[in-house]
Amino acid sequence: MTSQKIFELAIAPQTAKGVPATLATLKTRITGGDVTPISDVQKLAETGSNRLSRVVLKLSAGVDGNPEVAVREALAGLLLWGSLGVKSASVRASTDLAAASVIGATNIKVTAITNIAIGDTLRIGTGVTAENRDVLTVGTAGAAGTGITLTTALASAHSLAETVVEAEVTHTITPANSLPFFTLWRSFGEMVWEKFIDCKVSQLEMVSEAASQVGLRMTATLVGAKALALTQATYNTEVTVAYDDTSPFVHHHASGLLLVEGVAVTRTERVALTIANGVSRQFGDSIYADDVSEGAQSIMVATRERVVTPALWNRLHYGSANPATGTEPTGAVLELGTGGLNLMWRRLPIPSSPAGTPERSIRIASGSRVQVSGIGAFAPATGDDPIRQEPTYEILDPDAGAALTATVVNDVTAY
Amino acid sequence: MPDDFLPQRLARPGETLEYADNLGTLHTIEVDDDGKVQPSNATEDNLLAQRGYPRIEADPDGPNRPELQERARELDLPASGTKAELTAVIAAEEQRRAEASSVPLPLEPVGSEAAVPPQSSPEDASLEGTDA
Repeated sequence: MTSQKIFELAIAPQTAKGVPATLATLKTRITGGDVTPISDVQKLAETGSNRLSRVVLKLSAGVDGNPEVAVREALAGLLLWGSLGVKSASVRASTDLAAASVIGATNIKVTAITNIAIGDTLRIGTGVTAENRDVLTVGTAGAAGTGITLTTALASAHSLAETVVEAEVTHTITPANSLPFFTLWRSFGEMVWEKFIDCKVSQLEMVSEAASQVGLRMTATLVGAKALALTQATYNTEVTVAYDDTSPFVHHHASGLLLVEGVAVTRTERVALTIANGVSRQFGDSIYADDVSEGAQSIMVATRERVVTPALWNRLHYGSANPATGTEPTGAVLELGTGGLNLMWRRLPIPSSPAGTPERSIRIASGSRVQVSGIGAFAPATGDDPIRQEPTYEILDPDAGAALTATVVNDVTAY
Repeated sequence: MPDDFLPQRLARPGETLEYADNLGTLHTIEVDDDGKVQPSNATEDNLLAQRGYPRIEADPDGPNRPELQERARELDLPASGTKAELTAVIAAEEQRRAEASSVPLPLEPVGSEAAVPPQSSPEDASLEGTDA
């Protein structure tokens, strides 16, 4: 039987061009779009004794597509790295219990306190008794040490040597002139298993929309050099990683977290971040590309908001938030002031979550230069619709620092 | 300018940055325990600048001094500084400890005034100069 709805994509970074990864590090389900092998096939401009062509040539082959996925905490960081270029991760504290602890304890003894800080969330134990607790104070290590004091008491008993690890890792991602290569694995319908090598993220679009059933979603435009067919057995050997089935982010996780010049913009109905890298295949003496290279980069944020103030409109067109009567259109380009543009999706623990459940977040912070490149139609209210504006912000090359810093807090030690 | 003479930068201790070069090869930039990192080329220098990591004085001896840092830690000395600085501080401390250990043993039983050596105790000596 063909399971047509089974459609998955796995991914792993490559250490170098032409060196395919042999084991996927992340696997996700695809919600739309596709990434497929492509061929450039053209007819030779000649005819036979009739008016029909007789020769068709295959000129080049590669991989292209733009699969859409729901944004989950692990995938978000990987694709942002793929579209920006540099990543680093906070050093995760990892130790174990130096003494058993009992239910209700607010202090645990650990064998080491390295990298543990006040406010960190620690995951104590594993399996069904694992629990997350925030750190109140950090004392000394060892069974006879003063240990770690927790903000809330333990709900389970834990044995000597059970693991204690930091539950959050912060990944910081910034732009670079070169992007990493990835290997992709694609399976659909339990019929086709493929591997795509030397792939780059040509464009990444993150969109979240109010009241949308699909929540925050990412569409990655992927460009690769070569597709390889796999047997199911090989596919299963290389794609052993479990699905990233953490809870997807939704639009209201960004509620009140769009800041323009440090001021929260409420009533935001839609947010779209687009990082475009202009990736293209470069060909030599093969039908396969011998390189996949980046072009100029463009980073834009577009929002749709219900209007509560004409300030942005007036600043864009007339140069001030409150122009006097007779003010003519300004010749200056509007750039945002201090604070620039900040956007964050933050998934707080649901009310029934255990105490200390770590939050997960994706934050996009602009550098010092953001231009308002347009504001769309200042749509008049018709019928029951409110007035809306759709400003587009373009992130420019700053004089110093990063043009954009993406920060992803999740449970991935390293990509 | 030789790569070794690029300025160091101050980053987060233990952090590792990963990036791809223009041939697609992944590279890592390691930050030492003191938060110091010496970029190995102009690309790394630029990437660190983008992170806002400030430039600090370049180490003319190059970044290859882990054995000196380890020895400094063994001696309870700060493990930061240039290769020349570390070498000097370690040599001074080793000499100080050697001198302290060569203090004549007391000739009289413990408790006698004559048994107290005129120099400072080895403990005091080990504390001196640690902020050099």
